[in-house]
Amino acid sequence: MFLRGKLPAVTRIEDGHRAVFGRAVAECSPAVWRLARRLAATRADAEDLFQETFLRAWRGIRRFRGDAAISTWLTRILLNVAHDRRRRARPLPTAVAPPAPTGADPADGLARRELLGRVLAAIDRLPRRQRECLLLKARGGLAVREVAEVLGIGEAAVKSHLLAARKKLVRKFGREVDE
Amino acid sequence: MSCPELDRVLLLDETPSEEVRAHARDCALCTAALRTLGGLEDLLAGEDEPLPAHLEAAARALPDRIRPARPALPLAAATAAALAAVVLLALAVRPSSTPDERETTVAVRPVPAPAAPAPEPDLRTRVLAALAAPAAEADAFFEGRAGATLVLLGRIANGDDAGAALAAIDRLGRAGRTEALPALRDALRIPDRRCAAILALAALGDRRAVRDVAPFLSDADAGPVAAEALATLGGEDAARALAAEIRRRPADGSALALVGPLARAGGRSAAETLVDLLDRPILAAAARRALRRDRDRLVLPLLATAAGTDRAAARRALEVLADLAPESAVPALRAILADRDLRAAAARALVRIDTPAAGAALLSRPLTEDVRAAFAGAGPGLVAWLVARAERGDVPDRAAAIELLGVAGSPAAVEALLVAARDGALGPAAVRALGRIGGPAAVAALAALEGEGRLRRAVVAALGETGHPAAVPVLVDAARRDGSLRDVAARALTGIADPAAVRAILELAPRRAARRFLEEMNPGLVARVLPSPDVAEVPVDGRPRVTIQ
Repeated sequence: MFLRGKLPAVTRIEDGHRAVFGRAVAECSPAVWRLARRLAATRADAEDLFQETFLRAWRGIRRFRGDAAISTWLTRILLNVAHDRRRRARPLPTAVAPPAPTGADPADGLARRELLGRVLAAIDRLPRRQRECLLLKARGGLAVREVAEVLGIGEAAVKSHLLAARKKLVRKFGREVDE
Repeated sequence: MSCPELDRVLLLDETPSEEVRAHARDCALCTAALRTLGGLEDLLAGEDEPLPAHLEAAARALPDRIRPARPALPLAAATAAALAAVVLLALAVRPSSTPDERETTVAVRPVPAPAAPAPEPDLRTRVLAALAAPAAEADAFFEGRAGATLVLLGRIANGDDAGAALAAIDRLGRAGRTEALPALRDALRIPDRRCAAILALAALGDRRAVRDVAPFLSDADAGPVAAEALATLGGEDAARALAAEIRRRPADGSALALVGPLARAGGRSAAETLVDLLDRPILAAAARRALRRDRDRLVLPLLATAAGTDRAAARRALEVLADLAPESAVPALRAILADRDLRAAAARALVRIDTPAAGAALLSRPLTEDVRAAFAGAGPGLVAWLVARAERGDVPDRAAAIELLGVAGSPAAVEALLVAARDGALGPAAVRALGRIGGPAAVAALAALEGEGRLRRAVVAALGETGHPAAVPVLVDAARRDGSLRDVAARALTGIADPAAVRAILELAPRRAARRFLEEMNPGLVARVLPSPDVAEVPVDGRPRVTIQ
């Protein structure tokens, strides 16, 4: 699952910045990459998201007091970067589907990619909170509690957003996914 | 979707409840919804892609490159600092004061304003700074960057600052990302950035750029750069564009600079065009050099042409392959041997390859006259392989190898043939082969065999086959020792274009027979030995023949 475990709180702020950031990169970068890859339309966008996330994290490391897990903090930054980019430029997560598993029927793979593309486009049209809850839960693999922590909202609110998003998607893609 | 329990069912994973689970099992609508949700989540979960190492390295390097931002001042402190600054500013700009006022102002101690946090440069500023930075520093900055950075580079590449634009174009080319393509295409429209953009498109390596670059082949300034770019991009489209440009240009050699890029572009069009150019006087030498230099990338297209339906093109491709002699072509050439029309050309190409694999391919089918004839140019590799084959194995295989050694005509095979000649079944074949090889070594070997009774007639005939003057005394000696060989020896002597052979015929053969033999020889040669009135030249069937009076 995504971003388990907390780093110890930073006690000696000045001396600890590099250490905290170094551990954040070592322990969280795979998870940040995974989520960035799933939030972004292309691999290149994901790389930008990843780099911008860590750049912002390092520049803002003095504001990180260790109250929350650094993974939560990084995820929040990642979501903000993604949101900013989405607001500034083109829609973000009409993602390119991952390649079909090796050995699978290419026709199935194509159909799956095509369906995934449409599902992601539908998610892209959801309200921000619904979209973030759904993506963090379904693509990031976070528990409701972790989603709530990342987004800074209550668990009940997360469930409410999640339910709304799920209902819309089930209604829209019910038959296609079953097939 | 009207089941009242649907909301609880869709959050069953977050709020587990036996009651809801039981309902979900019984309600068809909820079961379907759960199944859909499961499918969607499977779909969304997708597969993980490993974190690219350069991204992690770039993140790790951040603390060494950038300082963290200072935290913003608390509101109260910021307000106090701002007020102090306003007061100081007001005092500084105040007009000359009266003495009383001066006393008042002395009492005010200036309060140093806390330094405001340095504004964080935006990405554009950082990109511009990196473009102007030394190469290593710039490389570190741009490594692995994509998305927003590329968009910015694209804007700079097409912006007003020509210097920064060229650096940005170069960076876009080195980005190795297809997102750079549109900006570079735009830069092609700006004349003073065109060459740089073409080079960057080539560096990018995206073959979709071929159609953008190709139109500039005929451009006086950008043409050579475009040709190099197309060569770098390679592929069929690039080759087609270069070939079309070569054909379009007059036959005055102005297309010379395009021949090399065409070969490097590879592909079937390149191969076929280069083969055609071998007939163009000014370009032929360049085409031949290019074919040899880029042999590896042109062999497959040439083989494809050789296997194509155009027989004339196939034959020419095989001729070029014979010249290039690529080892990798052996299997394809072996298959072409089955084609009667192309067999001779394919066999010649295989012989030029001159390896055991080529030899095995040549002998993989029943030996035909055209394949046999192709061995006339066999090189040392093939001869060594044939020698080994002549020394051991089945008798038919050995006999075929011995015969082909004779066709190959290499003196390197003489020793092995001498050994084979003493082998009962293969003796006559080996002697014939020695005769075909000719030269002093073969004559010496045949002279050594002449004393061996059962081969004598074959050896005498083979000595004549050598055509070497050194065979004359051996033949005369053999005829003198064995009268039954006189006629055979005299006939053999007709194959040796040497006055000594003429004299030997006159010595060995009765006058009528000698006349017959001498009439088969070169008239001038005979005339030198037998001057008129004994010899006269008369035309027979349009050829000058000698007639002994």
